[in-house]
Amino acid sequence: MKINISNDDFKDMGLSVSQKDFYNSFIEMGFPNRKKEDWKFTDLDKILNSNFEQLTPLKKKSKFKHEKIFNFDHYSITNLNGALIDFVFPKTVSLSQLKEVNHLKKHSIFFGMRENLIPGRPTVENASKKDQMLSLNLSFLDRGYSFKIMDPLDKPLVIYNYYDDDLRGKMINNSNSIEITDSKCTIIEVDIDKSKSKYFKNTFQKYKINESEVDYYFINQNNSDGFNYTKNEVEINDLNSKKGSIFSYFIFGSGSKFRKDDYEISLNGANSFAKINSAAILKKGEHHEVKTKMFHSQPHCKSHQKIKNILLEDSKGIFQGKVLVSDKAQKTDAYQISKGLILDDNAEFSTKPELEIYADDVKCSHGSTSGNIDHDAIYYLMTRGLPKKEAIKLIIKGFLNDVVLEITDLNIKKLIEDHLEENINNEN
Amino acid sequence: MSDKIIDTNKEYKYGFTTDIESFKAPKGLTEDTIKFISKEKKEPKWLLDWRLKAYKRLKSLKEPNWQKPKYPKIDYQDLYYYSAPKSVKDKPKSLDEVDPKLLETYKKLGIPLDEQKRLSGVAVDAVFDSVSVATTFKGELTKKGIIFCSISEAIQKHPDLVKKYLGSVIPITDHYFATLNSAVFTDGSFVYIPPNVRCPMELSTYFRINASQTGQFERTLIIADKGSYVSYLEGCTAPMRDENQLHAANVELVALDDAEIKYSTVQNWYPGDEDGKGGIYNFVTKRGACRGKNSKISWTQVETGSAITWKYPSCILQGDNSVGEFYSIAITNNHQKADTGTKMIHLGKNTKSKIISKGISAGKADNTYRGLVDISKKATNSRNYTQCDSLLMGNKCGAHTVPYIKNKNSSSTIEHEATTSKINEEQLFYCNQRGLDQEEAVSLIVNGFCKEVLQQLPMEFAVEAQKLVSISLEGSVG
Repeated sequence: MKINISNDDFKDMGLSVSQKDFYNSFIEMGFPNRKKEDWKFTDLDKILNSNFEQLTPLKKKSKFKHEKIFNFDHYSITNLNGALIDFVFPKTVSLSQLKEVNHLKKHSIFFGMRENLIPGRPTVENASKKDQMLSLNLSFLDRGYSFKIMDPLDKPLVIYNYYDDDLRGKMINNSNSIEITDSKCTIIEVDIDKSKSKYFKNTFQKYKINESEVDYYFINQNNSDGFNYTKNEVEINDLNSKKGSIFSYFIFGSGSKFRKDDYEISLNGANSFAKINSAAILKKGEHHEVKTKMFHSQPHCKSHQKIKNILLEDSKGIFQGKVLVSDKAQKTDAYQISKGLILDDNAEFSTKPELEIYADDVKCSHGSTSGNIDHDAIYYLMTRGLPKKEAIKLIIKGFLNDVVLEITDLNIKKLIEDHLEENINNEN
Repeated sequence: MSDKIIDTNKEYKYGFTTDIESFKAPKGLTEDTIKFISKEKKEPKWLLDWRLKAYKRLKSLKEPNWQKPKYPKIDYQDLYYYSAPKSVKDKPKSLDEVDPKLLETYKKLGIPLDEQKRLSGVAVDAVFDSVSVATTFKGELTKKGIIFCSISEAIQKHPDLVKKYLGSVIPITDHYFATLNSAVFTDGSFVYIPPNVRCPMELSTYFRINASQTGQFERTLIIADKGSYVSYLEGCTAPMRDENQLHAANVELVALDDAEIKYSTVQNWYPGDEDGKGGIYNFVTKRGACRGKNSKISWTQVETGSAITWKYPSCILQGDNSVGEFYSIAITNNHQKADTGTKMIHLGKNTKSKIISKGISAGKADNTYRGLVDISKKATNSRNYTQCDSLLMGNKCGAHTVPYIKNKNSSSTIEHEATTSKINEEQLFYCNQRGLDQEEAVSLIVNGFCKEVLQQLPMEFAVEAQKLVSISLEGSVG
């Protein structure tokens, strides 16, 4: 894959190495292919090569007239093509914007930055040498946001990610950071692609959850030709009270041409609970991967993961989930289920549910199933007077409802139900 | 409860060395070594060429390093690739002529080589180091047209069969250790069951590594022709030794139309002492091809020995309606590391596979299940069921599950489940209450945990395996 660069692409980042150096180490490694274990089911190199002739880093930051699409009361952050353009916030939230690359260090938002301060952890320079996506991100990183929430939020916060303009063959590298302390809040991140073009986005995000209860929803709002890779590093910490945090992450990624969501979640505080729920209806040519690494380093933590995919036409659904339990993490309760409903002969569902366990007093399990709808179930519904199409729809809805039921907020539940309904109707 | 984990430990029961002069090839892996082996075994030219081709490819391969257990680097030039007990030079005509010391060893191992054992109905092709010493029950098997002999003998007497099937399941273009085996394999078993014959007895081979510094490179080839059935047993023990020994065997199974092969293994090689010193590296490639319609291959294994085990007995389900099964118990204690599992490759229509894996980890051991279930586009109406359970004893050991699951077909179903836990305290308490001591209770519970696999073993092995399960865990529960 050729990357179209010009000399003013690279800037000094206030680090010991420059963006040019990151770029060089990326070039050495290239885009990951299936020989890399983490990319076993997603050959990014091949996928990009067959979709792009070359990639050009996006430099332009445009203005954009945006509308709020949700009709319930909420705070908002609005991004266009990865760059922050607007926000409506309560005073208690502090927000910084990544305007210039050399602000990176000052804002310390950028991915891996904190690790630099912790002895024994690899520096960002070293980490990027092993992770080509990180080194690519650092090479061209020029946009992003960072905010801290220190109090409970009375309204949900919506992060609008708009994509517009002609983004054909463009590459976006952005980095965001969210820190939530002593709070209870709901965050909805929504991707709205109006560009109607093929672009590649490489995002690194960092979450710090300190003794908080956070519901986080990601929704892909409309059909998009974008190719998205997002790496999310989540730290769930326990500062002093030992009450633990609850972090629920929902992924509704239907509609993207290519999406790989990579989560690394560390349960560093005792009594914490992390949940990942994903429901997707994948259509023509869609490639959707959810990859998780749940790291239990402290005792009495819980993690639940639920992945549900409906696979239509020549779509590909992938789940790679790892649960790692260190020898200190006794009394861990880790559960993981991945299910694929394959409704077309050209669709594929691949999973790699992995357990790596070093503590004995734990309860860890995973399950994975894939297959078609049980004919008896369709037959049963048909005998009750439903046409076949309706019967299938009902079963699909029931299959995904498992995830929807986990949503407690009624507004959001309605939102998700509509989102899934729309995707089901589009197909049948 | 974990305090006493390494307190008491079962001494390796079969730890002894028999003093027999070995006849060895010069040390090191070169073209000359391969030529030497081939000449010593009076092999035809095609086989030598085949070996050399494998060796040529081996030189371009790198030793794999992705696996979880790491081991000290093996110096392949410091190994003997061929060693035969001297007494084979002038082959014994009957048991009386066999070196009494050899017989003594077998007696200690309990191998039924002598006449009394005829009643137990086991035909034995015993491999002592690398050359078959004696084969019993040949007459009875010959009557049915069954060929059961060492692979060297088969190369001489049945070259057509060997030429047709050798390397057809594990080609010389395979991975590092399989290719190494292809280049330097010394001996092993060969079984051919003619069409529509049901083998009247369990065929069994005991392997034994004896001469110091000898890597054993066994090659086993089993062919079940149309409509036939065979059950094959493999059992292993090895003497106590300080150096790590390499064992890289290849086992190939071919099942044609309506044929069934049942392959059972009890592996109890020297696992190293309680500090993890010594012990055998067991890097085995086992693969079966269900070539014909309605064929079936079933792997059952009880792995309790070896310092490091890498073993993935696999089934290639080519024929329509073929069935693959894998039942495994892997027990690791002290510093043992086992990385084992299976691959089920579904190619034919209506193919079915079942995987039951039980891993038990104690001491400072690591136990990994690594497997693949791949249902291809053409394998319509296929099914897989996988169950992996792990039991942990103590917090210094690890249990891992790494399954790869691929479904490319809308009419096929895959189900996979895995659990990891420790022994239920209530069950232990209940057993204690009925008068069983801690060790007996653990043994009972673990045997119950493994029941689904133990049931699959033939009678002869089931008893031995149950004992092994208990012995392997002695002293791991405090």
